[in-house]
Amino acid sequence: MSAVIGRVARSLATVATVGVLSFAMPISASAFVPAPVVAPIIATLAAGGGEGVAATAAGAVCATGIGCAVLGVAAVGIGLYATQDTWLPWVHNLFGQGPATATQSQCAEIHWSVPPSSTPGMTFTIGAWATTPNLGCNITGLISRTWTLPDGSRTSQNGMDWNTDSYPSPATQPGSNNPERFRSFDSPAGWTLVGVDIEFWKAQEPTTVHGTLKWGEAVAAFDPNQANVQARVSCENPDGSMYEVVGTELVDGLIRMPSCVGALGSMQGAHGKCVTLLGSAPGGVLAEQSSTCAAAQALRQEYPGCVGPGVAACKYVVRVDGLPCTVGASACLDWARSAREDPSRVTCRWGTYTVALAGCGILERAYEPRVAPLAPLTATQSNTDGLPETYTAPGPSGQPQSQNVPGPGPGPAPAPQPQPLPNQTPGTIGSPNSPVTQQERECWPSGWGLFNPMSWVMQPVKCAMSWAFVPRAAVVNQLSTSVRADLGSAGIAPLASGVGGNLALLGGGSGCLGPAVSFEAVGIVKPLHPFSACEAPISTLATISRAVSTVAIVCIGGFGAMRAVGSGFGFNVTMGRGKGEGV
Amino acid sequence: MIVEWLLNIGAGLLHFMFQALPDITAPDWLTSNTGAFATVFAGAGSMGVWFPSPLLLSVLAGLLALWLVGFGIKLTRMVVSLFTAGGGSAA
Repeated sequence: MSAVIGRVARSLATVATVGVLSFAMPISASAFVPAPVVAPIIATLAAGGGEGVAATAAGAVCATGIGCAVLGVAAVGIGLYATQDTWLPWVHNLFGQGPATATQSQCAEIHWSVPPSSTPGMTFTIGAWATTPNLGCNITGLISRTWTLPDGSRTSQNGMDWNTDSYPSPATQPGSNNPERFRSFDSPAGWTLVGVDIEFWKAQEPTTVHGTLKWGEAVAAFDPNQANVQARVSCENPDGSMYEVVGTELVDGLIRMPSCVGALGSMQGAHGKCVTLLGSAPGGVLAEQSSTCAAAQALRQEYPGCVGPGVAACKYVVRVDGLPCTVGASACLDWARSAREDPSRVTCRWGTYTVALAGCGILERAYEPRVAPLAPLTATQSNTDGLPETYTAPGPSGQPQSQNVPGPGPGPAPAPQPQPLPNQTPGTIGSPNSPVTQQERECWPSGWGLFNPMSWVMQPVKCAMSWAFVPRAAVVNQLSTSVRADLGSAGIAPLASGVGGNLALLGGGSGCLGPAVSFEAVGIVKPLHPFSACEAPISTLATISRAVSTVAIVCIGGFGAMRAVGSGFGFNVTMGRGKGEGV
Repeated sequence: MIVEWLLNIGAGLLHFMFQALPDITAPDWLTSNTGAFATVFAGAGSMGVWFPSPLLLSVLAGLLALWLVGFGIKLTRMVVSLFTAGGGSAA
């Protein structure tokens, strides 16, 4: 590992040197770089075997001055192309074309003119314009209108393009280079216009701004991000008293649920009962959007013993013949099949209440014995032989559950009995007589297969190889659980988590300021940012550095990957010159 | 069976090794968010505008994984070579 790190460090240093030299080439007085000077330096930097790709490649390329210049120009060009989204807008801004940061609410505004009559159903006019064209907002796109029908339902009409289906207004709004456009249209009889959506495009990104019209007033474009949202949680104390907590914080577009614990009026053991979500446009009245309180109230009425303090005692339990199931109970191992055969035997209980059997669906295999108390059950395999006694799962011990199955045939039966691969296709030989057990189908030919010599060899060998080399999932899970437990008890896990947490910090940085340095001991309290790359020309250098580093890491990583995989096959992948080895 | 036996032996060896190790407690300077390590790594992470540290970590992790894959292939070839009639070892 240290050797790998050393090689990586040397290669990175080599590439950095080549990059600096190449970058300096165009601005040097002479484009000619003496090869006897550059090549030995690069070769020395990559000393240690000379297997570095950058060392030999750069040395060969920079043997001529033109080659070095081309390499440098190519590296700079790649970096500039990869980061054009960063510096191109800056260039545009420099020449007065770059857009500033815009919000949706500043993009456009919709208003309408008062119709001759305020009665819904009359002709009306909608006007819209971009408030600040320098933000790059242009009114393009389709218009959709939302109507309320006489029966109270809502419908939308689309298919109208603002640019082609609207007309320029003779009046131009002050401060806007985009003249107002308007559109007049008739509403169907009895329909009430609820709102109009006009699509605006900002730069290359579509921005749909919703304008909700109200009769008699101009309404600014509705920015969904500025909507008012509120979450109200009804909480209950252990003594039955109720209180409410309200949350309005939006995190990444989602509202954060407030907590009942520690709120005003809360007691020890308080918990939430239900939540109601409210929302409105900016400045509007909050209206309920959805609520779980009605369902919670119904639950309280139907199952009073399972709400409040009694909820902890309400668990799903399967009962067979009136007795509650426990892990390992024979009657409960396949209770689902028992329920199909005789539904009167099996019931599902939620606390003291009998509920539908579907409510206990997750407990279908909950009562099977396991290798360890918390070991997972083996995956369910398809019941391909159609025999109910060899039901869906072979069981945690890997043994078929049926005891009434004939043996596998001639020859000694290995113990424990071999288990087929889950994806093993049992037998490609048709047979007029179905095999008796799945084991017979997997390991021994049967029926017409008895007359196929290939089956005499292939099937038993395949079965034996599976038995010998394919570990059982239950055993693997048990071993992995025990190893994890050993790691935790030995204190390795906290060390690993500590190292992992620190490594995660490498990817957590953002921004252009770089690390902050302060010298409080000498009275400098304000932190300094010596590696700040927020302004040109440092930002350009930082971008180039990142681009060159990225290319170097990818190239070195690819070469390392070839060596790692090739070493498994005995190939020593090198790029050495004159060593007599290589690919 | 064979692989299970090998896995059992491996797990047993690991268990014996971990039991033989003294109790290890992670030091505060490694696990603390304000410790020396965290400060250094956070500073290195803030240099992301100059150097792509996440990419480097990803590539190193990929190289380690591929090295393990190559080692596994080599080990398999060694084991298989024990069952072949001649041809030499793949070690």
